[in-house]
Amino acid sequence: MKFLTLFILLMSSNLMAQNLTIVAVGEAGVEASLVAFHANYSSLTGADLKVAKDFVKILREDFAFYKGTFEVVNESKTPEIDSSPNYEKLKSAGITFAGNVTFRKDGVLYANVQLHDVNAGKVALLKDALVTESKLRPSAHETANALFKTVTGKDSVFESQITFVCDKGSRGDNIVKELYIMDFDGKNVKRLTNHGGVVMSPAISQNRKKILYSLIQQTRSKSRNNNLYVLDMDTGNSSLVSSRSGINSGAVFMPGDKSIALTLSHTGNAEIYEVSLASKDIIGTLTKHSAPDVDPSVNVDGSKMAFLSGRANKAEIYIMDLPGREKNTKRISYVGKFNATPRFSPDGKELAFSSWLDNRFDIFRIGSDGHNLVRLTKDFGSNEDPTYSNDGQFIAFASQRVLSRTEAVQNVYIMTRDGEMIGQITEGLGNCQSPRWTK
Amino acid sequence: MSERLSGEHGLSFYSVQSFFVHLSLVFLALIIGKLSWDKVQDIRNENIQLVQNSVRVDMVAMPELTIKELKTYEEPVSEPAPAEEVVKKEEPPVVADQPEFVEEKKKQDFASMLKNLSQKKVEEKAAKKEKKKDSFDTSKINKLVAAGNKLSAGAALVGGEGSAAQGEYARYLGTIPEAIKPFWKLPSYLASQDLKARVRIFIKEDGTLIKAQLYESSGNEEYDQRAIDSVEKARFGRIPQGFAAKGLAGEIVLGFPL
Repeated sequence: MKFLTLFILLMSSNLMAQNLTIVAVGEAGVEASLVAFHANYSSLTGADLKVAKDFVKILREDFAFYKGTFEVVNESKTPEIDSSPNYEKLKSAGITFAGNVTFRKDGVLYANVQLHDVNAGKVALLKDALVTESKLRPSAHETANALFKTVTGKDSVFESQITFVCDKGSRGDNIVKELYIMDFDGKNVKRLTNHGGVVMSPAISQNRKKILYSLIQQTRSKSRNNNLYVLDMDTGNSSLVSSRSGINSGAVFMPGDKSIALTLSHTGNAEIYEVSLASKDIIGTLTKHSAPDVDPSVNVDGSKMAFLSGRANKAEIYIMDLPGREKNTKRISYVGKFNATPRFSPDGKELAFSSWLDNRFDIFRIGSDGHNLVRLTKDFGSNEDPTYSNDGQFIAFASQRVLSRTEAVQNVYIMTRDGEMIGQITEGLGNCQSPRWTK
Repeated sequence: MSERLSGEHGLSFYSVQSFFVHLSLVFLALIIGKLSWDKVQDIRNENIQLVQNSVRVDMVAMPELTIKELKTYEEPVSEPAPAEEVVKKEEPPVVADQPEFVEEKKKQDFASMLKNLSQKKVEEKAAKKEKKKDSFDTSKINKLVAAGNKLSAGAALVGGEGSAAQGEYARYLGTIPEAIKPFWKLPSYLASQDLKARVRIFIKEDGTLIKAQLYESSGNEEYDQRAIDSVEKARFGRIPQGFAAKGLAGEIVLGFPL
């Protein structure tokens, strides 16, 4: 026994003598990986050739969307890549992943994509995809996502969509705003509603089957209430969810898509309630404060809700642990003249919001613990309504440019979560706002 | 007679003895006084250091610079950092070494020290604002990011551990990740694998790297090599006095990422 104690003592003193301090360096930064796609179009003609070229173009554009993470070799500079390429040669060109796309006509056109992991010197993925005129984009995005996932281990934004509101079709003072949806890259735009009214603050369900939106209907009567509707994406039909007096707005889906968090002001004070989509009844009171509480945003697992409240006599951001409600509510923002639209990142670790600074709105980001406030946009018009992409790497937002004293144009833009601008996404739909990215 | 004599003799004898005894008592008192005064001073200095270590600052304005702008600032060569150093941050805040500053605050109580601290910052900030572009300190991007544009004394106090000197060493360790971060980059195919490696570094007192040694391998050769490369490219600051041995003995192990 004594020996054992002595032994332990000696051991520990030995360890003490070494006295190493471990310093965490932290997560590594991203180094852009060079990827190349080589396509063999031989034996293709006419419409097949065109659609095949478009397919490869989408693969290239999708990867290039992740600026900073991937760099795509120009078509003209792409070396020959076949089923057994010279890996050393590709490696010396700095290419880390090389795609070899071949096409085969079997009644319909198929693409076969072979992804080479250059460093490992082997094929990392083989993927077949249907390449037809009508299925081109979804098929190409799906393929790109499969490649992306092979390389990074994570899902990309390539199959995500953005729903938003545009005023195309307005005449003079008769403002008409309808609901639209598009792919993440701004293509494949579809109008979803035809109310002839003003659609506001949409929210898309996690399974993408339903979209909530508020509507101010153009009616002859003086009562122009702001009512909440839900659109069924399968049938294309909208139905009324809430038409309580006052605001029925800022609704978001709760996880599971069965109920929603919604701002109502029927009691005279704006509060956030949980409303069942099936019964349309209030099934919970989420906020309870004499100050107005609006604009809820719920993280993906539904544990936290961010919202805007006037309880500090100005609009500031609060986060509530949903099980605890008011008991577990914490103020997050302490600065900013006027903060608006707090939106959770998918993992709930941070929030993007807009704040009034220098006579316009700009987008900021803050950790959900209230730390690490950073500014993302500046000198880029007035920027509002941020929404995180499904992978949390991008933020879409509405940006308004003043053209003249009477004219301004608003469009949806995308930037990375660090404020690196990707570009304007909407075009030719009038003024577009309130983007919401599918999660 | 003998009593009287011995008494007379005794008088001078005793008075000499008494003189020396009293003298030594005085010296003893002086020495004890000096020692205890030094001790009090040491504790006070240490407390001030600890307080400095633990001062957190609240944001009082939205940041004006974007994260992109902050990233493009160049890092100046080991310039003593100004007041912006003290910021709201997860890691132990890095406070610039300002011995004189500590000196003059010594006699003040804690509350007025905090007050002065905050005033000092606001003044410096105001001065800074005028010639922002050329005088903006750029050494600690991360801290600036969190700092907003105006600073005031924060209310939260989080005590550091150990002595003031220890705190200084801890702060030094805190600068190491920042020195490495610019070179610590991974392509997506490596970043996605959740790898973990540790590198032991041996550095001289002036911060020169003697060697970087793989301490715990990630199992992926490229990952390990990239970690070592990033250490070799980084430039470290001077090790605080009294801790040079730790650097030479390779007592610092770097975790990639933890």
